[in-house]
Order: sequence, then C-alpha cells, then structure tokens
Amino acid sequence: MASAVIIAGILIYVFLYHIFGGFLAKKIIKVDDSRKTPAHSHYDGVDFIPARRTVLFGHHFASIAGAAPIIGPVIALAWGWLPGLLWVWLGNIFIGAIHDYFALMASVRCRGCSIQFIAMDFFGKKTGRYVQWFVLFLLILVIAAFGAVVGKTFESSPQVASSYFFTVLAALALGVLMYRLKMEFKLATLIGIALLGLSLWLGKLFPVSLSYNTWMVILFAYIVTASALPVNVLLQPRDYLNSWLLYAGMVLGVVGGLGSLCRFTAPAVTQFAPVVLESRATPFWPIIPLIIACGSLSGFHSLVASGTSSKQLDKETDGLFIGFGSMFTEGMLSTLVIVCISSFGLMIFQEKLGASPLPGSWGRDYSSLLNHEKIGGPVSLFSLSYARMISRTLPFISEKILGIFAAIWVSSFALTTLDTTNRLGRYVISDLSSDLREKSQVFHHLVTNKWIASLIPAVLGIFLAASGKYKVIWPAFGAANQLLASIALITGTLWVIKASRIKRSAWIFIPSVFLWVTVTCALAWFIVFVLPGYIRENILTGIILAVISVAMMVINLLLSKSFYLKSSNE
Amino acid sequence: MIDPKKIKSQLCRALTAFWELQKREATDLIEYELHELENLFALLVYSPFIGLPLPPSSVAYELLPYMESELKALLVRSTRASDMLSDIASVFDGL
Amino acid sequence: MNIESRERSCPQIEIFLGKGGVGKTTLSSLRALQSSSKRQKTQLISFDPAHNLGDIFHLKIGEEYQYNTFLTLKEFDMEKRSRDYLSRLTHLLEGIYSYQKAFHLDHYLKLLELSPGVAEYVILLEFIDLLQSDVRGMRIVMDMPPTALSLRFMALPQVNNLWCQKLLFLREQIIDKKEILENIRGRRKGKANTKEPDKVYEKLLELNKKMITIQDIFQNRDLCRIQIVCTDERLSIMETQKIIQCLESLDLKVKTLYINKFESEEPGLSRHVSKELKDISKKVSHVVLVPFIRETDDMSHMINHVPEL
Repeated sequence: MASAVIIAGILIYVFLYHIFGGFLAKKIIKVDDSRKTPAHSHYDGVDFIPARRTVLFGHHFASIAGAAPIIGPVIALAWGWLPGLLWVWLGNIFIGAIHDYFALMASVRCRGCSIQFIAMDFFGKKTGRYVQWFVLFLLILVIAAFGAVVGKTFESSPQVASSYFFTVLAALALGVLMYRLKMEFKLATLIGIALLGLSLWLGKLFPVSLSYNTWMVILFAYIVTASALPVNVLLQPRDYLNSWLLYAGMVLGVVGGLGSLCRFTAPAVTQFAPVVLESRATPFWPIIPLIIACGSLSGFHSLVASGTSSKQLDKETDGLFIGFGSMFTEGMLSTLVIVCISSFGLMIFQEKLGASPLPGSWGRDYSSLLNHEKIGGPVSLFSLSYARMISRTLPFISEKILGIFAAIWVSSFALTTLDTTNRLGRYVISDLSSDLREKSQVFHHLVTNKWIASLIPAVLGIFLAASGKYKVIWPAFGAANQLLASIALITGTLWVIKASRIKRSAWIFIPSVFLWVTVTCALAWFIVFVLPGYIRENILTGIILAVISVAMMVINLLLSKSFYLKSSNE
Repeated sequence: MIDPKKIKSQLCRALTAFWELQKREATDLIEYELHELENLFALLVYSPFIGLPLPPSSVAYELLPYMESELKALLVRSTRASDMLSDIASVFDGL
Repeated sequence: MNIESRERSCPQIEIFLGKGGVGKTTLSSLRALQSSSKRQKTQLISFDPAHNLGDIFHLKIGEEYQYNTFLTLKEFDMEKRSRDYLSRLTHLLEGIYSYQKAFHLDHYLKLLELSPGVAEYVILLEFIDLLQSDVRGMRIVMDMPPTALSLRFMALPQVNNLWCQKLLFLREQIIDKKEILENIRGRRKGKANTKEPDKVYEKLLELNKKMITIQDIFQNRDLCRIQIVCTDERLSIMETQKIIQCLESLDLKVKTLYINKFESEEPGLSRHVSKELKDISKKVSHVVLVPFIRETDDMSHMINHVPEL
C-alpha cells in the first residue's frame, strides 16, 4: 500500500505537471522564451543573474521546504489518511502549485518586483501594509507553533534534544572550517557530514532530560543568541547542513517507503468532523488548510518565488519547473509523511502506550494520544514511524539512530526558522512602524530599538508556545500563512490575466475564490469555536492569540473589500 | 536502446548541477551579506548621494575610481530598497 | 618613512593663522623676507583667497615668482586647483568606467563639484605636493586662508585617519567574504579575482599612510611651527581663543603668538594689555610683540622696524 501510494503520487504529479502545468504555461501565462526574463533584461551581477534551471530549482525547493510540510500532515491524520492525502494532492496541484507558479511568473513579468509590490500596484498602497502585517503575524505564530512542537519533541525525547545541540556545535565547527579557515569545500563538506553523524551518535549517548518550560527558556535564549550572530557563524553552515539532512531524509524516505511493502493500518476515512482541536468537533472543510499548510499550499512561498527566484530565472519556460516542480516535490514530502504514519503510527502507539486509537473514535483518540508525553507530538510520531519504515527496508541501519536522524531533520528545520524569523521580524517591525514616527516619536524609537524589535516576535512567540497548546497555535499559524497565500494568489492571478490578456479562466479564478472562502470560513470557525475555550484556560496567551486572529480577520475583510471594488471597476 | 555512455554523461551532468547547488546553499547568505556590505561601504563613502551629511570627501574622491562593484550594489539596492520583503524572506528561508 | 629620515628631508614649516585683517599676510611676508635675508632658502606661499601677496610686494605674482635668490613667492589659486582636481578625477573615472556608467556618475560628479569639502582637501594636496618637491633644508612660510577653512585643513589628517580606519575595517570584511565565496564557488564571471589585491583597500591604506605622515608633521613641533597673529581687539582675541581650543582638540600646540599693532611704550605685556590676551599668552611657547608700523610701500623699510620674528 505504501509503495502504491508513493508511486501513485509520483505518477499523478508527473502526469499533471505535464498536462495541467503545460496548459497553464502555454494557454494562460503564454510563456515565450523570446521575451527576456529580468535576469537578462535587468542583469546587474548583484541580484539579477540568470541561474541554471536545476540549480535554481534546488535552491527554490530548499527555501520553501521546512518543518511545516512534515508536521501538518501528521496532525491531519486525525481525519484518516485519505482526506489529508487528497488535500495534499489536489490542494497542491490546483491551488498551491498555481499559487507558487503565478507568484513567480507575475514577478518575472513585472521586472522582478515582489508579490507585495505587485499587490500594492494593483490594489493600492494600503495592501502592501496589510501584507506586512500578515507577514508579522506569520512570524510570531511560526515561532509559537514550531517552538511548541519542538519543545514537545525535546521534552519527550532527551536524545533528540542533546543531538540537536551537538548538531549546532557541528554547524559552528563547519562554519569555522569553511569560512574562517577557508578549507577546501569538498573536504569541509565531508567533515561537516561526518560531524553531523557524530552528533546523532553523541546525542544517543548523552541524553538531556528537561521539562517543557525549561526548554522554552532555552529556546528563547537560543533564538536571541542565534539571531544576533553574524550569518557565517551559525546560520549559513547550519542551512548548508540542513540541505543535506533534507536530501538524505527524502531519498531514504522514498527508498524506504517503496521497499517496506507494508499495509496501511490507519483508517482511510473516519468522520467528517472528529474532535481534533480543543475538544471541538472539527470539520474537515474548511479547517484542513489551517492544518496542512506547506505541503499543499503556503503563502510564504509567494515571497520566496517573487524574491530571489524570479530574479534568477533564465528562461520563461523554466518557470514551470521551478514554481510547479518544487511545489510538487514538497507535496511528495508530505505524501511520504502520510505514508509513514498510516503504516506504522498505530504500531508506535501500541508499543509506547500499549493502546492505540480505535477505529470507532479514531479522530479523538489519535489527537489525544499524539499529545501524550510518551509520544511527544507530531515530530516524534513522525520520526519513530519513519525510522521503523526505513529500517524495514534497510535493516542494517540502527532504528534508534534513524529516529534521532528524522527528529533532528525536522527540529533543525524548525529551529532554523525560529531564528531567521526573528531577523525578518526586526525588519518588518521597523518597516511597519515607519508611520509611527510622526505620531509618537518615543514609541517609534522604542519599537525600532535593535533589541526590542528583534525581541518582539521571540517574546510573543515563545510566550504563546509556553502554553504548550500547539494544536491551538498551529491553526492560527496556518491561517496567517493561507491568508497571505490568498492575497498572493489573487494578485498573481489578476496580474497574469492582465499581462497575457486572456479572458477570465475558470481554472484560475475558482481556486482563488475557493481558497479565500475556505480560509475566511476556517478563521471564523477558529475564532468562534476554538478561541473562547482557550482564553478560559490561558487568559493572557489566549488574549494575544485572539487579538492576532481578529486582526487577521479584519485585515482580510478590508482587503477583500478593496479587491472587490477594484475588480468591479475593471 | 539504453546507451550507457549517454547515461553516464547525464549522471555526470546531474552531479555537477547538484554540486553547484550545494555550493550555492553553502554561500547564499554570505553572498547576500557581501552585496549588502558593498552597498553599505558605498553608502558610507558617498552618503551625500542620498542626502546624508558629508563624511571626509577626500576619501570619497580618492576611492571613486575603484568602486565599480560597490556603486553597482548601491544603485541596484537603492532603487529596490522599498521592495525587499520578498528578497529577505527568500534569503532567510525555511518555512 | 620614519620620523628621523623625514626630519632630514623635511623643510621647516611655519603656519600663520589668525583672523582676517590682523596682518597675517604682512607678518608672514616679513618673516619670509627676514629669513631669506639670512641666506636661508625660503618659500612664501599664500593660501589666502584675497590674493594680497601681490599687493604687498607690488608684483604680479601669478603662480610662482622668484623674488630673489633665496625667496620664492607663491600664490595658491584655490578655484583653479579645485577645478583641476575634479577634472583629473573625472578623466580617471571616464577611463575606468564604461560609457554608460560614466554617464551615471557624471551626474553625481556635478554634485561633487559643489561639495564644500573640496577646499581644504585641495590645500592638503598642495601641501603634500610641496613636501614631495625638492624642499630639503628649506623654510616654508604659509600664509593661511580664513580661520574656518584653515582649521578644517589642520583637522583633515586626523578626521580622515579615523574615517579611513573604519572603512578599512569594513573593507576587510568585504574582502574576507569575497574570499569565502571564491574559495567555494570559484571565480565568477564579472567578479574581481581576489588573488589580486583589492584596489579600494590599497587606496585606502595609501591614503591612511599619507594622512598619518602629515599628522605626524603637524604634531612635530620642531618641524612645524604653528603661529597665530592677533591684535588687542575683542574679536581678534576671541577668534584666537577659538583657534587655540580647536588646535588643542587636535593635539596641536601653538608655538608663537604675534601680537600685532602693539602700541605701548613699556616693554613686555604691561597692564595696558587686556586680561584675555594675557591668558592666551600663557598657552603658547613664545609671544612676540610687533609694534604698530605705519604702512609704507617699502617692505625692506618695514623689516627694520620689526623685531626678529
């Protein structure tokens, strides 16, 4: 079954990449290689440089792949494996890939402008502000969500926690070798990978067992320190090691998944609305996009696509491979995750807890067992299932080490995100507060202070994470991400239509409208049904989350009003 | 027919591309930082261009002939400075 | 170049500062005449934009004039030098940058021509030229321009040094990052080879060295005598105070204070002299009192009435 799903996934993706992607490229975007891309027409040797297709693909993929496409599908398994898988496949093909591709091509056609800039051009200056607010919320919530998930993992698996800190040391050492001593790149890479392996082994030998709240304090200190360091000390070498983790994880996953020949033990479909979030019956639609974000659709991708990627696109025809192709690869990653857990999740529950979710009350059982301290949340469940799957196919590799490897893979991506979001946060906050200068100089000064600006996302994020309720924070993070996606998708769609002068096409309008309606309903449901209960339990964090969610809703409605006015005018 | 030579050359090409990609992965942030440092250097030396107070202009005059890449970075980044959110987001990746 | 070797090759430098109209040009001219009459090779150079050196000597001096075997007179044309300097720079740029880039920079260069910072730098360049010409054993008497510009000139080496050092630090970071990139990614199209020395860095270093040399000369009280001319008038005294203060902040000491147009029968600083002037006198090494001389056309006549300067 596992191999069947993986092969089916690959086939569907390859088939639709050619058929549907080809259709979009030829008929809607009307790609034309005689039209110069900004990399050529605006070549400057600094930002605008044409890059090789494959290299740009890899770079783009490494930029959009993170911890989210792994964590989301694990939570979504509460609905059974089929709904999640369908959302990963269909959402990816008909919304997510279009979103990424259109953001990329709109930016390419618009001399490499960012999607935010194009949106501003289209819907007025205020829209740009709104985009930045969404980005800020996204940054805070991503720290909260990833912080909580990683905290859970570290609390339940002391070996992963210590391994992680050994990998940080490995990255620091690699940084010295590569950037300070300027060692030969191949040799440095080999040493880096060896050190990475060593840190997994050392982690296994020296576990560090601490409480969840202690981990929160350590994570906070870590974010503040890591984001203050020059990039070549920690961030760059760790990003580089992360890319190896990603490739190794994916290659092992595909090989292991194809070779394990196992059956799915999880039910395909359960209820439409099992209890998933905060003891509430959670309907699959419209909530699913808040749970599975990056694997099928993510607004953050529009920033990446219209950031460095669009400025380095060599030919317009390459765009499909970059935008569509890398999104599909990410969908494959999520598919792998679903395959792992559906096959071995039950076995892991049985071994660790002596109990497993019953088919009758699958959703409720799965969600609560996932949260059990002996399991330790989505990352741990994934890494244990993943390790079991790989060791079935490749029995010569220690399952324990594989488990640590998988957990490190996800945690390392999540934690890299934590300190980079902090850097981004500082920039976004100072940009957002530029209006404040005239109104209140003191406040402006306070907000843009180096330390305060970079602490705001970290403090709020970790404070939210400290409540430990990743299941409440995760959907909020999903909402911020998908609202951003909704703006980007509408903007990209309108831009492409305008640029290639085609009549309204259902293929691109329906996804935009569907996405907007879904996410708006989901956010409304979240505010009405989940938040009140959460506020009763945790007043302070509840209020922060409520303020952010309501603000997102308000901005979303304001935006749709301006979208509506604009499109009825045209 | 499968031609082993062709496969070998394709494999080689794929590996070279992968290696090139890894080199980029290992340096993209530093490269961005370098351009930003060059931009900063040009900004500091030629701050009157953007309306800042004048540092010792003699240094600026003496360096001017050798500042091609820095001024390029200055010009490129100064025209794009209001639209950097996406750039920064994609350089500091990982979501 | 170390200090000792510089002392041997370096000329004696005398800098005359002071408020406009107190007799800077007259006194520096007299000083030059006195010095040359002792068979000491002397060069008198006036940086004063008022160009009254020619009036004093009743000569059309132009750029340079050999007054007698031992005395050369020079008038510094600030405007011409500034123009020359900027056009040299533009030519250099046009040679290096491609047509289009030069087009962009041309526009910026127009801005630079308005730059207020060029005056003192041009003086500094002239000063450097002077030091590099054959001036062994010579005495150079410098009649300085109005105070603000003179002080900017005196401050230039230090200000530049600090600035160069900061820029050198930033440059080192840039070079390091370039080396990292080249080490891993190999040489890239359109990028400079890091094996070759960084031109900006070298230029900065060169500039820094030059500035340090000049700073050393300024601070060496045997080589460089800073002298202020003042009169016993309120404005002149106030300006003198300011000059001394500013020089102190640059670590420079005044060697001689000339009190010009001094009208007292009694020798020395008698009670007729204002208190402020006495205070100032304590801060300098020597005080020279120059009696009021009725302006005559004959400079050699004036010399007889003035004490040894």
